[in-house]
Amino acid sequence: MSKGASCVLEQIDEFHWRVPQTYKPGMRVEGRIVTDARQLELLLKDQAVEQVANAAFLPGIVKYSLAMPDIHWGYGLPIGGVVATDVDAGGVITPGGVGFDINCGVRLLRTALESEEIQGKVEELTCALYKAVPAGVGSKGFLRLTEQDERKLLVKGALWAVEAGFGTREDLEFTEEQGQMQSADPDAVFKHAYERGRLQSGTLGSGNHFLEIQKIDNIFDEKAAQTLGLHKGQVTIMIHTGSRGFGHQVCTDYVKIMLECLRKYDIHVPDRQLACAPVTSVEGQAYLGAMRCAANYAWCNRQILTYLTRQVFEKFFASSWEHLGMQVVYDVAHNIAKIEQHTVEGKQRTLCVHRKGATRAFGPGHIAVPLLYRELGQPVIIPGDMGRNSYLLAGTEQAMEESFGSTCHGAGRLKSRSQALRTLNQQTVLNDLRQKGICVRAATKGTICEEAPEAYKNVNDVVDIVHSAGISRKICRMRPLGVLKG
Amino acid sequence: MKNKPKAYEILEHTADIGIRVFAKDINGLFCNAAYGMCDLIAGKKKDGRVQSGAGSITIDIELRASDREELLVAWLSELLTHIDTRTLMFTEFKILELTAHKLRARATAEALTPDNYDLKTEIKAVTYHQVQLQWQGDTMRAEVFFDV
Repeated sequence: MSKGASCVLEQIDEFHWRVPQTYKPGMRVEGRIVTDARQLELLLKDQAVEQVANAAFLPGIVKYSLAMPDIHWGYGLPIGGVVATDVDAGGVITPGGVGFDINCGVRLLRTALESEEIQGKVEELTCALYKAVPAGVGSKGFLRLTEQDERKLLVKGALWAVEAGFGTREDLEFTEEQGQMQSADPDAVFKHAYERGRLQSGTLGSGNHFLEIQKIDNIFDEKAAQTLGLHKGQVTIMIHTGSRGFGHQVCTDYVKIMLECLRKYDIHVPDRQLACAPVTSVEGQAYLGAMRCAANYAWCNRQILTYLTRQVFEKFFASSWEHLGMQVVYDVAHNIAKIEQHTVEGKQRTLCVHRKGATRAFGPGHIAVPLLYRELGQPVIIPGDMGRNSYLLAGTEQAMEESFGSTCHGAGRLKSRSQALRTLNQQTVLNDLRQKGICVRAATKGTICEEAPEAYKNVNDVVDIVHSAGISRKICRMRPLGVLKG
Repeated sequence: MKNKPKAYEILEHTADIGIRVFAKDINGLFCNAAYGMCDLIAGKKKDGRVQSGAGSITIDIELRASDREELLVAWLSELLTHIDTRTLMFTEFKILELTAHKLRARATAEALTPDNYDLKTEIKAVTYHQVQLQWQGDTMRAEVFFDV
């Protein structure tokens, strides 16, 4: 396994490492990794650092090819990668910089329940969610959409779900992009994506996707938590999923098209999965239009899962979801490309910011942040593994200056899935979790071991780095009580 | 008795999963890659209902690509789309024509149900990451990674 790039890493300060531009001929900028010495050891085991260097080949890239502390080996860009290209200077867009699960993301709901109120009921509640929420390989949603319906859904995103009775306007207010990316183009989506998406809306999926009942176990910023309607001991719900087969197919179709673009536009990248085209090209615009459809599909998906969750709670507690206080705190994407304005070297520039396993973290006062939260900075939701914690952070001004308004997205994997399956025993993992007071239901064989806490880095370490490095700040921490996995 | 040569092996990847495929020729390589991917998704149950051909369907596939690596990814991607949209599992593959730029094949499939199969891994997509085909002695091998 190549460790070339790892060997040339230069430490800049306590939380920043550099892959020099001279490491590979063809790198247009240096690589930059936000991490600490302990996490760095973990990432030297695979090819993630090499991928940071590879991303630096992308035409139009500005400042550096960046990676967050949850970086791990992906394809094309590493997971945890952030790349910004200058749209007006021939900057490219690459589907490999977004990933197959377009707008994989996380939604956090608050409730009016205290953890003591659900003590002894979590297992039953998790089972009720397991029955109501389609999850796992081959699962299908309850919606039966015509192609016309699907086209509307792709343009309207979460608004489509709200108009269909699966949520409220307030849900949209507290969703990134209000759950609807503008300029989505259903004509840029190919037939197979429509086919794959039709039956999967309102499904959780599998792998690392989950629906969790949690409790807040630590508050770091009382005032911010109060503004967000959160307090210690409160029950929250976290939904982690994306655009399902629809997004996977959009990416598959466009990587193929972008491979042709490498030849057409004479672009040289060291990995085919970094196939790309200028943002302003016909192909670049078509991908953006299709990717926005997939992003909207994902926001609609998380809205429908919110609806299903509220239904389960309503039935379980014999009370309305409004009375149970099940409102959206926020909803973020962590696999996406966006056209954003950023200041680079003192100049305002229009950038195509790719976040692949990275979360937007706009600072206080940014117009994209809901008015209620604007003074705090954008809420950032960081899901952890099923045995440790998840976090709510806020974006910072430093993130705007340093990381194109971005931060980490999760814990990051440590063990491969096959290694986890080989070395862990399902019953032992379940028993360990049960001893910690965590109840787990999984739809697919193997998921428990593949997704065991031991397979992940410790999210607490990752979040400590982004907090100490200043690219986001801690507001509160949650711990899982009941976990539904795909 | 001589052991049957292995058709594929699992490749470690931190977040995803890959396979290294072996065959005596390129037609076999494309078939074994398809079998490998299908095995990752679901395993036939020992007591699963035997499909005696009555419930099986055949799907004709024709694809074009710039080179054999891209053709391999296109082939597996096409099969994956059928698995995902039609909830079926492939049981047999027949390569009818395979050149550097073109593939014609016929695949046989049956319903993918929890009665017949243990569902294992949801493969989101086939990636081009480090995809390569090469001869090693008299064996042809390929490596391909899947996003899961």
